[in-house]
Amino acid sequence: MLSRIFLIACLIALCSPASAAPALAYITNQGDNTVAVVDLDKNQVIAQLAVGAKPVGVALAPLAQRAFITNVDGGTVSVIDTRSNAVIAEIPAGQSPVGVAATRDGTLLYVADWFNNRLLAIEPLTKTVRFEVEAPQAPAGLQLALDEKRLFVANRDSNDVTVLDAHTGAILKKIAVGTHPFGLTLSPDGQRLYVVNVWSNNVTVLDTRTLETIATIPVGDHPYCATTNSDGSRLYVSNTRADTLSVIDAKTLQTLATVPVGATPEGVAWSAATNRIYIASWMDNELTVVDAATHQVIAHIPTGKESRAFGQFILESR
Amino acid sequence: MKKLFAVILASLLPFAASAHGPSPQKVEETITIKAPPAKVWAIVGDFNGMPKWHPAVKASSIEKKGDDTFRTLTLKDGGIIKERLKEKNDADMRLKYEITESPLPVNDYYAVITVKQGANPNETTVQWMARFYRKYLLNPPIPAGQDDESALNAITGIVKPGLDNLKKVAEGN
Repeated sequence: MLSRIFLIACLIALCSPASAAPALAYITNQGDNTVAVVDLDKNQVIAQLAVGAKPVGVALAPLAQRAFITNVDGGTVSVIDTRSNAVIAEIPAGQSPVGVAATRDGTLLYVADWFNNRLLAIEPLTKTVRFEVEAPQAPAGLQLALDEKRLFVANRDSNDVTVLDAHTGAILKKIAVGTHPFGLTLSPDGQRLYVVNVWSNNVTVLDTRTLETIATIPVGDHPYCATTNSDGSRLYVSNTRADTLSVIDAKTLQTLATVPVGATPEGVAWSAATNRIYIASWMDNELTVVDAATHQVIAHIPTGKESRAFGQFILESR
Repeated sequence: MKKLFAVILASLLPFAASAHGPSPQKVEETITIKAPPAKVWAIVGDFNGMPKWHPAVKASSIEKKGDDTFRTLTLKDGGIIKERLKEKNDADMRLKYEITESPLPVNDYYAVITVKQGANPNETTVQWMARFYRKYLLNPPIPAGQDDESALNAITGIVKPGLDNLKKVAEGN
């Protein structure tokens, strides 16, 4: 009964825009060792947080109100409290952590240790490694399945995706994809995994149940990252050397638009609160904002030096 | 012994050529030139014209392979740099290219040169931005001369004097 009341209270809180906190983006700036926290209602940086050396990856644990940042040169993960937007801890995380994923409740972190070809599962509260496994070679993007029972790892230099048991680290399958897979994203229904292949300029679409390749979608030059909207009808891909965002119809797999954005676009995320796509521009040191309805660029938000934001970096309205 | 070293080196090369570390480096320089943008673009946008404005480049030649255009730059110190044209955009006055072979201590070098109207008429700003990785791509420790700093110094040493001399060339007569 109590839990039902709590649930209703939560729903009311979610549905009333007056009380909702704005959606926030957490943007890693590799060039000045900071994370810019961006208010997506105002398109404004509201905090600039000092983190470890050369921050790259971002993962959010909305239930725990935490953001996790990988610092590739520092060999650590910075932990941000998303209520106060303060860095509250720095956790040792291998030698060169790049990709990062977190369970929604924030009790477990998965970190790709690039140089060591290891995948680490870290408990942020106790700062201990629960398990670590081989991830040949150069593990990059990480993605948890919707049920958080499986973890997908993009292995950039072995051109495959490994599927792990998220609880034990046991390797369930290795799937060949395109050349140099980097970013990963899941469709909202959890049935598709999109794998962005940097050198083959395409996206591999995997069926997460059969673990077979469904399709390959050509995109722009040197693509890095991808995201979808909430109904999964659109796939958005950043093309780092074309300086564009590909907008793809997820059903027909046709490219609907190619939008020029800030130069060397890396991390990309979509927000339900604004129906906009946000792209971190490494070369132009900004977050480019694209209207998902019109495919027009509507804002350029200066974020910091060499913005990367590798991962799903948006915390939705609460 | 020397032969053994060569064999080890050769066995490392294919991996080195296909991988890079996780921290890309950036060099970004901008210069203001007192000349119209069209004039500056005519100089800097010519993919085979680098000897006319870059003080370190002695000669340039162009080669086409299918749809791709490559240039071979011969430096005054004898070094050879091979580059592939990624894009030449006359409307936006933007040139994109990447290094395919060079003696520089870098990997995966990619650059964009953009010409824009300056703050005043007859004034142009030229921006040269490069993204690359250091030479050493494996697990640290990093050998001397192959670290991030060496890569940054080498590229800054090309970009800055290049833009300075481009200004002189474009502003002359």
